[in-house]
Amino acid sequence: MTSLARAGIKVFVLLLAAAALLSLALTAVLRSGRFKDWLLAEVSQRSGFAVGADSLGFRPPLTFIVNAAEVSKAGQFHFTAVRLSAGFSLWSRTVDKLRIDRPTLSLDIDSVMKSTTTGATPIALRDVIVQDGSLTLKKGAQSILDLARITLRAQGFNLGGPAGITLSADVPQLKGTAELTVTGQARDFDAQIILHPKPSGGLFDQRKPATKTELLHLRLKLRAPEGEPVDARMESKFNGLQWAGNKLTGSLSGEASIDAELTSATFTGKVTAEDFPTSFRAMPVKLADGPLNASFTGSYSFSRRMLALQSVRVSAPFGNAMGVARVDFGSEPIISSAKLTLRDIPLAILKMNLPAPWSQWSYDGLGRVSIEAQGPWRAMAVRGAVQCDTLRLRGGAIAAANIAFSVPFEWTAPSWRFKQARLHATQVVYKAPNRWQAAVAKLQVESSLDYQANQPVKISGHMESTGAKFNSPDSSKIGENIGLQGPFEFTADRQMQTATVAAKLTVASGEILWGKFFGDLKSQLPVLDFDADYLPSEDRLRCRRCNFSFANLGLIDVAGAVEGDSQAPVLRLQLSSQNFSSGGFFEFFLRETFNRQYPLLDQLAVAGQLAFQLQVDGPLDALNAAGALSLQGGELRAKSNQWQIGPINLKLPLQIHLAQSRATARGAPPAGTLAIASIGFAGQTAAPIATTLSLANNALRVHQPIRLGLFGGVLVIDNLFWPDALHEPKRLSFSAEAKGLKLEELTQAMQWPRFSGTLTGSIPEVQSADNLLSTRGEIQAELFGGRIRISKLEIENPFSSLASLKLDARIAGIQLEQLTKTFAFGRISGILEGSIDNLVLTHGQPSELSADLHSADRGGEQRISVEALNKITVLSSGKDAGSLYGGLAVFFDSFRYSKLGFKATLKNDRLTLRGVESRNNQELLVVGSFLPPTVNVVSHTQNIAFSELLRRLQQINKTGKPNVQ
Amino acid sequence: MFKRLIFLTALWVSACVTVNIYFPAAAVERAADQIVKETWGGPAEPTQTPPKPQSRQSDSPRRLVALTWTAEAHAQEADINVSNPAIRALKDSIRNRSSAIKPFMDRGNIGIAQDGLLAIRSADGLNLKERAETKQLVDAENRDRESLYAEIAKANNISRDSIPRIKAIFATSWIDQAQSGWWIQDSQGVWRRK
Repeated sequence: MTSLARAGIKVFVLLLAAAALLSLALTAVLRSGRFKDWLLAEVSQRSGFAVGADSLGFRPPLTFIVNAAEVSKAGQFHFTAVRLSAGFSLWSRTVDKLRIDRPTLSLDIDSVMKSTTTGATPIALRDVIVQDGSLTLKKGAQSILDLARITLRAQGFNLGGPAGITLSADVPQLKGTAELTVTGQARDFDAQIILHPKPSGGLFDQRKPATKTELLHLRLKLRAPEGEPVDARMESKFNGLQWAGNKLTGSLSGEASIDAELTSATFTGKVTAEDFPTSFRAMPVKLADGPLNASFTGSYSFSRRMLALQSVRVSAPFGNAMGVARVDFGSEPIISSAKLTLRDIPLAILKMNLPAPWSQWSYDGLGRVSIEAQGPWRAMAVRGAVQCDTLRLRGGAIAAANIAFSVPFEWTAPSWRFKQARLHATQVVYKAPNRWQAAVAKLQVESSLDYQANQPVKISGHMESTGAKFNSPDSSKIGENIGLQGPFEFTADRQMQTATVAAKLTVASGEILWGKFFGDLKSQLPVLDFDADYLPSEDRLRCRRCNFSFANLGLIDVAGAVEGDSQAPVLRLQLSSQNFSSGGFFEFFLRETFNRQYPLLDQLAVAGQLAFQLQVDGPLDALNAAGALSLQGGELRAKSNQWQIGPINLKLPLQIHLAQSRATARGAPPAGTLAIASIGFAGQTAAPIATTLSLANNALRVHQPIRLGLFGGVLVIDNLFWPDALHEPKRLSFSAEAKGLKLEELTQAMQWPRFSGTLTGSIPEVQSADNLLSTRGEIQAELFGGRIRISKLEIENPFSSLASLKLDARIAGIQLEQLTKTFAFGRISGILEGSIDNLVLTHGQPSELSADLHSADRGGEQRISVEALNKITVLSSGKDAGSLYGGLAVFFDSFRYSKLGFKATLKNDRLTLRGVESRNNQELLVVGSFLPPTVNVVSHTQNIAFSELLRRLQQINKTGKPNVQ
Repeated sequence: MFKRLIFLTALWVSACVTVNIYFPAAAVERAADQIVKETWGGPAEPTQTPPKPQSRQSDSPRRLVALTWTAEAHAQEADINVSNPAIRALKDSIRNRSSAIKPFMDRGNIGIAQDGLLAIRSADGLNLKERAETKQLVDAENRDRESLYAEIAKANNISRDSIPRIKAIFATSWIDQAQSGWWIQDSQGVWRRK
């Protein structure tokens, strides 16, 4: 270290020590009570003001502090400050920085008017800070104007000049430098404020603007002659004035007149802005930009401290406003009454104020807002209404031809209330390509909303829609003319993160087309009554109550949850009903939907009360349902009353699933009971039946045999089983056994020609699948003294109108005498045997057969009457041989025969008839015996059309005994 | 040697046979025309139409011909059978339903597709009940038509493989006998008004 450096350090240390000593000395002096008293007295004496302070202080380098400062002059002013600090500059020897905390200044306006400007007192302050100050203008003892919470920060503050007051200050808020010039006397002065932009160059930016732009130029003239009213005029222009984040260009002018006693003032003003901005930094709402013109008139009573705005008019792109207000500036501003009406608001501003996607929509229409305010400024009560008569909305997939709404509101901090808000919309359409589409012709909503900060938002009201419709992308599911109305309540709880919806909606009208199903809802008046929570965080709908009721069906209660609502919904629901009408269900869902496919449905009547309780789980395409189903007083009958089953009582535990491959239930399924009190069929009534049954994994099984006591015998159906009753209801199997059914009763019931005998048989297995019901085993009928065995019984399309019955029949020992007597075919004695193979009965008519029926000579009598001969002749030839046989009948009633019979095949309505014997190319239907009287009947027509056969059969019925000549 | 060669050639030629997998196209055409006329009543205003060829299908029978110069004699083939209870029931069903379908055909809601089955062409002007009705009618009618073709094949011992040919022949009849103003789908799938 050099000696020079060491000397420098010594000097620096000495200076530092001297400064510290000086600071300590000043601090000690200033804190001295005696010095404070001396200084205050000295200042009071020199200024003529009363000056006081609690304490003085000092802070390096040269800042002097006065605590609890007080300066006053009786009848003129009174100034206090909690703390006043002034920082001096050694170089400029002026106050560099002045900070006044919580100052109060009370001025007597009369004394201000009387004071004169004696000259300029140059004051230059680099930085002035006034924090939380207040100014009170008084007239005598009465306060006429209070301005509170004044905070000022000015830089480069200059006060002084050759004439009047010249003050210049930096105004950072407006990004400019203000120059205030006041010229004239206290009762007659002009003031001018000019705001220039502050150069934005850096430290080395030496450029100067060619012309000094005026951001604001304000001129104020005040004339206050002694004993006369005060007249003040103000004109200003602003150009690119920065305010609240925007640049404003326009003008502000006004006039004010204060009476000579300074008790009241009237004022008018006018504001123009060339391009009023869209938004302001502090204002949450964006407006339409453009030129603004505003004017106002009003008055202010100094004595009552009452401001009355008699007229405020604003014309701007965001609407035209008119307003009046009365404000009491007492200890706290109180709005006595304030009304503002804003009309012609272009609703396009919604586009600017709403988030996406609503910001992408177009809003055409005008709205209006009326606001009334009243009460203290801090607890103001505001009420009003937002209204719109015509809003045309279009955006994305949504469009509305017209929306009108009226939303009355009330605001009392901190709560909002919207009471009886009304919305009326017409032709609202949601139409997205390849998605569900919906529209409503008319929608009316009336609702109320309560909102308090940190409280759930609650909207309740009533909605009504008419002419609503929807359709699926493939138009297979459509709803039209739907009229829906009912109350609703919506609550959104931000803290709980839930949205609760409760409603009771009644469908007063509408038609639904859902695949093949069509339903007219007007006849059912469906009501949907639900109360559900949606939890967005879990994407879950929790349904406390969801009731569907139908006028002619009953009520279904649903509760539980739907998870993954927005993706693939998974259901966890409990469904139950206590009074579901099976008849109503049949009529509404089944008959109308399937009657063209199954015309039989039109002939059925269904009744009974269903009840069920189900737990439904899983995704929509693989639902699993478990629970119980019961039917009380069920009935199934033909409308013609030909047959009837019921009352049916069923209790069935069940477990079913939509997915075909899924099997969830294991072990023995729980069994239910089925009881049928009676089965009536063609005048017959079967004894009651009861059995147990089960439905598990879609398999429906009847456990016990069903015994039907009919026609004097018993028909037993056993092993009745549907492997998948849900997906393949036509696929079933069972066995059947008939024991001693009396044919006499059967034929009587069927209104067939009566004959006696019994029907007995066993079909070990009946299988129904793929529209074919096939059997194994045979049925045996003992009749006409013989036996018919029926086998290979099949029914094609058993459930359609084109059912086709197929069978083979073996005939043995039939007493022809009984047979012909029964069918009034004359009289033939003997035994009939043979077979009918491949008999097909379609639509009630034989369409195919291959028959070989012939007499069997058992040694008994074989005779044939003339009448029977005639009928055989009619059948084989189509011609009545009554006259011929009539001639024979003179001599013989009957003839002996050795054999009779025929071989016939029927196909495609062509009957090929061959005799029991061929002789010389002749087909003999009856072959006479060797002993007279004998007869041969030869068939000459072997091919007979079915229609001709029918005609001949009809003729046979008409043909009686031949006339005996 | 030469004589022997001629003899063998003659023998070989005489041994050549024609094997037909027979399909009675002309008879099916006649049956189709008859059934369509019986069930739907044929065109309302008969128009002069050029005489049809004897058989629309005879030019393209599914046949196996081995070195044949033998003329075919389809023109002489007998009528097929189109009368049995099943066919009668189907014809009755189609006939009874036609009065319900025709108003929708007149209005252009239902048209005849290129395969001869009915199709819902447009739902314009239909309320939902009518839409449901048209759907049920079309489903039922098409089901009956398909059954009719199957029954005709069955009644005439025509193999099930040939049912599409019967269907195609019937399609021509349905279209030919459609009334003026009804909508027909052409082979390109375009709907045109007859």
